[in-house]
Amino acid sequence: MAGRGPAGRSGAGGRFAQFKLVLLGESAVGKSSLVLRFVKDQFDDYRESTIGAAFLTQTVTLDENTTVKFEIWDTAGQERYKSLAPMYYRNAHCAVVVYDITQASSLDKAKSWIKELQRQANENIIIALAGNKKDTVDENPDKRAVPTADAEAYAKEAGLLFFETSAKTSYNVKELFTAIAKKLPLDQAGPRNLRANPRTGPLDLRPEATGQQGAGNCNC
Amino acid sequence: MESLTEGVWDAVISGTSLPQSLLALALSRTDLKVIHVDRNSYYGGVDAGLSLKEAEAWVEARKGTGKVFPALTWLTVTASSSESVEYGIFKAEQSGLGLARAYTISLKPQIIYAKSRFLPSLVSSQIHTQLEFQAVGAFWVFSDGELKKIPSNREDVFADDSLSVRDKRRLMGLLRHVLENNDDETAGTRQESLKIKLQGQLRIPENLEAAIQALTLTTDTTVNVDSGVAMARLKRHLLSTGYFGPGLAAVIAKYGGTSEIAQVACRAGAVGGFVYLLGHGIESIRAESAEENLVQVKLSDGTQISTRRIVGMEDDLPSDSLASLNTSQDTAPPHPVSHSISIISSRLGSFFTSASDTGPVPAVSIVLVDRGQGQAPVYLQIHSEDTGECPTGQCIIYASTVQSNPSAQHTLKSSVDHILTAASENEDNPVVLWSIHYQSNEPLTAPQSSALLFHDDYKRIFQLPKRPHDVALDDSVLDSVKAMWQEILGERSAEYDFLRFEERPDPNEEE
Repeated sequence: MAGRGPAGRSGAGGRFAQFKLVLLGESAVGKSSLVLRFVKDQFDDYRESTIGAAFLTQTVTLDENTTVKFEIWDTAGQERYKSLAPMYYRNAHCAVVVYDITQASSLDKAKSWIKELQRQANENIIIALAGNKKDTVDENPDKRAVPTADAEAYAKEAGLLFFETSAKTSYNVKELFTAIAKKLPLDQAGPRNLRANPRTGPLDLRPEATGQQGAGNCNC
Repeated sequence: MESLTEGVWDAVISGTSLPQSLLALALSRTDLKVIHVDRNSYYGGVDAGLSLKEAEAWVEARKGTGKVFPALTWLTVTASSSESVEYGIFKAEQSGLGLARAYTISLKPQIIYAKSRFLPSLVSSQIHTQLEFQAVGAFWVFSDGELKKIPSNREDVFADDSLSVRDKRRLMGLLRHVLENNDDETAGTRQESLKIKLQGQLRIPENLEAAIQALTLTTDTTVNVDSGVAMARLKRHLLSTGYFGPGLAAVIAKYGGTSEIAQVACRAGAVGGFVYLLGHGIESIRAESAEENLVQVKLSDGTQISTRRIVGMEDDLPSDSLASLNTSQDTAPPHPVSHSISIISSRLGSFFTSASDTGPVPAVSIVLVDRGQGQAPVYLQIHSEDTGECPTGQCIIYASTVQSNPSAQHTLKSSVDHILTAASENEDNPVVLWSIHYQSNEPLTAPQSSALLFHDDYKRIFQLPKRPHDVALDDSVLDSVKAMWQEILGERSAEYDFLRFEERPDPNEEE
């Protein structure tokens, strides 16, 4: 059985926190592929445009005492209506903005998403810029349209984490999500940090849970 | 993705207020082709949670619509006319305000009782995992210059030194009466007023009336409130108390209450493959013939789409292109309600203490301000910094009253001031940093039946009823949404359970 209960309340000692992550970027830069690699360790060369929006979860273990669970929201397929992003980045703790290193215009699009996030999202949101399709450039360096140094300089100036990634070869995919996990405010009793004081933390609404708050038998 | 104009949509849902969002959630696991639009650039409609800037723009946009109040001298009035304002924005000179987006100003703050039908629906539809629920703590009454916490259970009543032995006995009699009362006896028939009931049959002294009314959350004067309705609501309060923890009767969703629930429900629609369009209203609807039973809908950007059904609340549908409503439903007439929303410079911690050493720390307190002399009470909903609606070290007071005369806004302001004065013993001079004031027209009671309002003879254009003004969320919203869900699915509704879904498979567990 999946242990996706009311998030949190892990039994053993250590910290467990759940964070909302939103994925943004132009169509076909590989957003869903990055998530698919991260969550299922799979890749599909001819992945169709995602129908609807996807919601996935994945856990990152930082050390033996610290586990971070990501709720990942993929805006897939509806980029052009621009109406899903606001519902997703609302209260999001982190965002991955993806561009395609073989398409210069996709970096411009990524920059406009980053501006929107910095204007509209939580002030403390952690943003990572991911230049995807590194495998294509490795095979054929002529295809590179965005020099690494340019994107890196922009990321530094805008205060972003930065990685070039390949969903196909899984290059830097785990590193990207782990770097985000490390920057998250695990020690604060922040949003969705369920290790926080259970008395100010969220209530468990499931009827069977009442009376055993904090009993801790969830394996999530 | 195919273009919006291709093919036929099974449903166009207009507006993202709670009812439409719940409808999207209810339909999210079907294979229907649904487009969900909102003319606003934000989600939530009348239930929206807004940043300060959005809230100010919301007020500005409503200036000069409807009735006019005399000038409020204490306001920094930004209205067009110097002598009258219905909507106002106030900003203190010394400002400790945070960033505009650090706030979520809830346009319809509501608590949800533990013993409601609504909460189990959120759980069975699986969206509760994306929400954080927080405890609503004590109810208070402010009467004759004194702020008093209302005892939350029998033990507290007995321990309360301010009550005489006779009062305690009468209160126990009331509790017994309410809990033993059979719902069916009184349902639907008009009873005597709450005041007559309390003073007559139950012999409750007049000075306890306000505290009892607070637990019913009824908004009118005790002379006007039906005792049958009030007793049912008091029963709801009593049965809910302690369900989630000591002294706890209700919850709210973090980050903006119903606005957050509406938002999460829309996400379920998006995950189900529905198309979402903000900033797109319905400009016109053409439903001339019964041919193919289709409706032609023109969106505000000129896009024309065909759909089998269109549904929205009154404000989300174009009134001029619609025929008169066909319905047998008796909808309660809208009543003017005055509101203010104030950001307070300190956390007002004394309102958010736990009822027990182990119980959850509440994030919301409810205060009934008794105005005496047969006047409708003011309700204050105080939301702590933990709600995520404001930065640390502040809180938000939502005030409302059904009093509709020109001095209603002064009444709300003095109610907030009384509470700040009463709380200032423990805090260093709490002040209002920012507030907005407005009047709404809302029904005061839920619709009696879930019969659908439809606009054309072929039943293709539907209107969901307005939710009543109420400090607590009314379960009736589920009834109208369910009726609409059945209407859209037709015979296929038998294949599904309303708002009851399996957990989405965890991809880590597959294969």
